[in-house]
Amino acid sequence: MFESALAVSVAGAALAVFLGGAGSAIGVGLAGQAGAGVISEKPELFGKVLLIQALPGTQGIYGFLGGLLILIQIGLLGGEAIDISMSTAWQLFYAALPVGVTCLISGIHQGKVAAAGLHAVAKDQANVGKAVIMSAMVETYAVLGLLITILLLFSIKIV
Amino acid sequence: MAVLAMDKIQILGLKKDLQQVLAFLQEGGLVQIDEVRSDQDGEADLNLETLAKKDHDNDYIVAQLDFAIKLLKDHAPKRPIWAGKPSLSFESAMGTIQSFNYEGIIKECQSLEESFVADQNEITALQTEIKLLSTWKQLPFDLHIPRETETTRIHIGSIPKGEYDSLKAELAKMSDLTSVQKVAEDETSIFAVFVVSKKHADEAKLLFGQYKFQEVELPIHEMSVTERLEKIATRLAELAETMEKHDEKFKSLAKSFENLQIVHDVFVWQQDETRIHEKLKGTDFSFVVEGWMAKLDRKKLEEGLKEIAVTAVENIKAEEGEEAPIYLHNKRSVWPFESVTRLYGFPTASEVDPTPFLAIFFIVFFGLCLTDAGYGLSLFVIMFALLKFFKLPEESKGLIKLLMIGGLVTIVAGFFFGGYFGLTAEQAPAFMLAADGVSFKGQLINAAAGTGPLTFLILALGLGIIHVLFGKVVDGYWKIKQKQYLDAALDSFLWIYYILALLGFGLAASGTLIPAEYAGIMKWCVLGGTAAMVLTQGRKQKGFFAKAGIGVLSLYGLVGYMGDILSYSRIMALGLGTGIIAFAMNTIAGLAYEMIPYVGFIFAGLVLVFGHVMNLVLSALGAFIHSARLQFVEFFSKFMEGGGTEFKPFKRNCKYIIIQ
Repeated sequence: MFESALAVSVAGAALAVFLGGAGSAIGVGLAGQAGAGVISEKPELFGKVLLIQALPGTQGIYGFLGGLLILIQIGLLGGEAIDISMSTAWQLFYAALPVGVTCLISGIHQGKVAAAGLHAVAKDQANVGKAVIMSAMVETYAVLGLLITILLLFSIKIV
Repeated sequence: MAVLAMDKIQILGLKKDLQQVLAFLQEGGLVQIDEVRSDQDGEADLNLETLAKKDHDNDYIVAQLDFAIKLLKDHAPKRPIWAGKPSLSFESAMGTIQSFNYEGIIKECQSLEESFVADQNEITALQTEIKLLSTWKQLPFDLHIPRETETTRIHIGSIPKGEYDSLKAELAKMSDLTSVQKVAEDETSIFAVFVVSKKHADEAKLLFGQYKFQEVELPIHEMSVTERLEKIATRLAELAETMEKHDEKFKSLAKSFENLQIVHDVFVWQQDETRIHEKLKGTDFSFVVEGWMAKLDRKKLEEGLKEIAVTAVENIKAEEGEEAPIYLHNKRSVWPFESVTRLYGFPTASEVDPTPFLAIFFIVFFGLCLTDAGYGLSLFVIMFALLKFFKLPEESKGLIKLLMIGGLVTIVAGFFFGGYFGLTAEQAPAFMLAADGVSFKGQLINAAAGTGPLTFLILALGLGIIHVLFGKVVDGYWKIKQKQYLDAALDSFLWIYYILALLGFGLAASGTLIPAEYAGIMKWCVLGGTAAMVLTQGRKQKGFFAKAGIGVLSLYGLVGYMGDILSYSRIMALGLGTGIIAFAMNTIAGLAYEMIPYVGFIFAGLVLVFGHVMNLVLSALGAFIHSARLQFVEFFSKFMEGGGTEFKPFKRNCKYIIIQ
């Protein structure tokens, strides 16, 4: 795989999607378990529980976004791939790392905070707003990872 | 326009008027009633006694009404979702409680529930019995024959197919006085009746265990299995009919559902009124009510009370350490933003209400996090329709209005950034494009190409600087209002000056915006600021070293400001994200259209609709959350801590209905 420039850049795209998706899957899963517990006692809170459960889901989208941008940059979407140099391919690969790694880790931890927030909501549903904001604090770092990935992908010259 | 000034008051009156006074207070919702202190300001104890009522009739009726409403909920005619809760006048609610026989309905509900549950249990029991008996249709005797005689015992049960013959042989070997009769069989087991002499009971038990015989207990009836099954079938048919009748009964009772809800809320008011007595005190002929109210409602209260009874309203001192409850009151234009403040919690009585200050920033950040005119328009139309065609409770209107304004701002942001459902200039129809053909009409920044992302980032950080400094300005303004002039100058405005000087120096040194020849002056501004900081920030410490130490350490606060300002880069990331996901949805839909023969347009349409709806929902949620976070963490921390308790007046609380 290290001989083909295309393969290296695709590996970058794959990594971004995979790490972000994995972080979100774990995070949403953790929050979902806590949410199911809340629902069993108070089914009327379903809407609020779903909202909080969905919060760690953004990392998957950020990862997807990073992967997609790489695919667009190398012209893989809907057409012939551009013939890129090995050095460009590795640049794209590294550019995928910020979003991938931050999303993996923040997704998991945001899931934990969301699960804890759900316990707070189970006690008093007025806590929804606060639980949402606390969970969003963790997401900051995924957003920053995404930011750098986007900036890198826009500024890397495709040659 | 802010946190309302509150008074702690005491209402004194005659006990005979208490009923009317409480009714008036509950109707007006002007006063938060707190517990009356027995001893006031060291004065002699007035021998006040609690006025708590002993009767719990209302609690009982509310519980019964809750039960009836829960029981009938699934049978009640569905109200269309746009209709909201039933709304009626106070008089007609009180009329309902007079004319509507709620006690009769509750009794009917109770007896219906009882027989419904009993019948349902019987049905379950009979169905279990059918399952059990259906394998034993060929049982050679009636169900009621005794399971044992003086000398023998009957064992009815099943045994794995492979074991049957061996068990039969073993039993025959054990004693001649053994009978085995096969009744039925299925793929794995044989069902049989074993008659064994009691003399060999223990031995037989061992054998049964060894060959995995499983005994069943058949019900006892004076008939054969087939007859019993027929009888069950008849009974089940009867029960099915009864259940249908129950269902009709549920439906006919559910016609009173709305009336039950009205009566429920009326009784909750009475329950609240009874409970509030626990907080009151009085003598044999008088009563005392204590609580908090807004200063500006005072006249309304006194005039209202004058009409119904002879009372006295007095200001009293708050207890030491007691904080006034927080009553936020804002202009109509700013009011929707209270929902953002409420999310964080209330400021304390000595702090400023942040709502009017955060409004403009919140909505601009929200718009920039979306930056798509198409999404803005969709959001605006949806929220407008919700407000126009749905009857919403007053509390949720604020949030809806907020999102509606957010939609408008997003349209503007989308216009400047050229965002229209993620379309690129090549995909867009010609009339939307500017003369150059590569950008949209009115587009100032193309966030996805060239220097666009950097411009967007600088814009976001610039807004961050303004927001953070504005937080400091609010801090200074409030301190001046509190007459803390020195703190305002040194803790608020000195910081603003210092940050601006540093910024100016940075800009001048790099020659952007400010010509490089000013760098020298700026340097002296910074040095002067630094000296002022070191000299003043430790002024509240005792001793020279502590003052100097804290003064130098305060410079470290700059790191915090830098972190705060960098945090605004999220606006750019979210804004770009929305556009790129929208673009991705369009691309995927385009691929589906090209690659799937004949029906490609269907898939493309589905992808477009679901993709854009999902993106709109998630992006709007993200925009709201992150815009709110920028207020709470970066902005509020400059001038408030929060932690006030909400003003909760004694009023008519409604769960199911709305009183006009």
